[in-house]
Amino acid sequence: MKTKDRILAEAVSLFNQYGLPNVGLQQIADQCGISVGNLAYHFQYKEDLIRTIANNINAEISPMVGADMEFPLLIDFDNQLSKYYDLINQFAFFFLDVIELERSFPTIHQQRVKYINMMIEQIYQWLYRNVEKKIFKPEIHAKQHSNSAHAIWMIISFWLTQNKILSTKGVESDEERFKIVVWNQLLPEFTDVGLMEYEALVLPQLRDVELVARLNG
Amino acid sequence: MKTKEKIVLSSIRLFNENGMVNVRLQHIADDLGISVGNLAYHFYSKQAIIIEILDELTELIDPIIDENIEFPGLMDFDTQLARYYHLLIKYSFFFIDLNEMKRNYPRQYEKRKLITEHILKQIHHWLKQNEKNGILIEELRKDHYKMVAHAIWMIIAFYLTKPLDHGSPEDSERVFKEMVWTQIIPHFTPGGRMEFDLLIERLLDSFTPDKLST
Repeated sequence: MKTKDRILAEAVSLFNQYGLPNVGLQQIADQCGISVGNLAYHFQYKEDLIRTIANNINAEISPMVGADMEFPLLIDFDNQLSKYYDLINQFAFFFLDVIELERSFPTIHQQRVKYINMMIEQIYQWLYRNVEKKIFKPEIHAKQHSNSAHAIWMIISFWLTQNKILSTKGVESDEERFKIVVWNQLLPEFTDVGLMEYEALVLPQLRDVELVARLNG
Repeated sequence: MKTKEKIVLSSIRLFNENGMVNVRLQHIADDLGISVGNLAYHFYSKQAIIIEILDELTELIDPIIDENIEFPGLMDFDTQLARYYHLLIKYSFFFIDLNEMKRNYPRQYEKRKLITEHILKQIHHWLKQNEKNGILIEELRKDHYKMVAHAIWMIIAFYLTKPLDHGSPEDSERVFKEMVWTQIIPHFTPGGRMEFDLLIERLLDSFTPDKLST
């Protein structure tokens, strides 16, 4: 791996672990086993580093949140949930460090808000199309589905904040638990046909039904 | 107002705005126009201020999250939501910065976990009670309402970190309540829905007088 890439990888890992404001260039250099001078040759300021990371996130996220993305089956959406999960997990500090980015890096913060809104819009569009396909019931209250989309986004991010800090369990079971909570949101919305598809295709993916019981137990 | 109280108020605001890590005693003193020496006479460290604030929060929140408090009806729950909202938003730094809390204030961090558990239990109890009273439908799956309670807690806690702009404070409270009620709406029985339309609908953000529920 090139020095520059290694610096980026270590910086992301330190930011995720300790929070953006608590990590300095010295610490990143130490972690890479290089001098601060060497690091400064690649990134003069912490801000340069953060901008480069933000651009990398940009490259990964853009194809994921495109408005023209289709999820024809419920299982396709389940896969998309995994992708959100991985991305947010990988760059947790970018999505979850609310105060610091807004305060010190307003343009990056704006970019983040844009992505979050695109994800919410994507979830909303998916709900909307599945109502047309009679997989979900029509809205029974004004703004219901746009609120649901927003709630799902909150669950995705909140889940990850909590787990970064609270969890000692393996990553795999975390992802399953997280999906169970998201799908549980949608359970009352299914039509009979939708429920059949869910039980045939998605539920077996969530495998360990016991997890549901243990979730809050 | 006594200097000590002023220090506490100013600290809460600065912590909420800038994050706990970024605020130093000097900032708080500057904010109040007093010397650090004077500040240190009242609180010798940032930690002492934080502990004082959290004692204050504990006193306020304990009666709200008491296990024996009942809020049976829909309107009562709406009122309870407002209580959660105002308290959590006033001390949002405490609920947001988990990393810092866990590392440097383990006792207060444990308290935070306890608050979370109590609120979760309260919401779950309310859902189960309304299931029994025929306001909410029977659980679709075992432990479904446990997960609904969990989702509601996530919304309450996450909302306060404000990653998106929710407009003015009054709007913000209405949007917040609507988010929570949206979790409950799909579970109403016809009778429960009637009560909701009658009592709660007009309090929500999506409500416009000419457009009643569809």
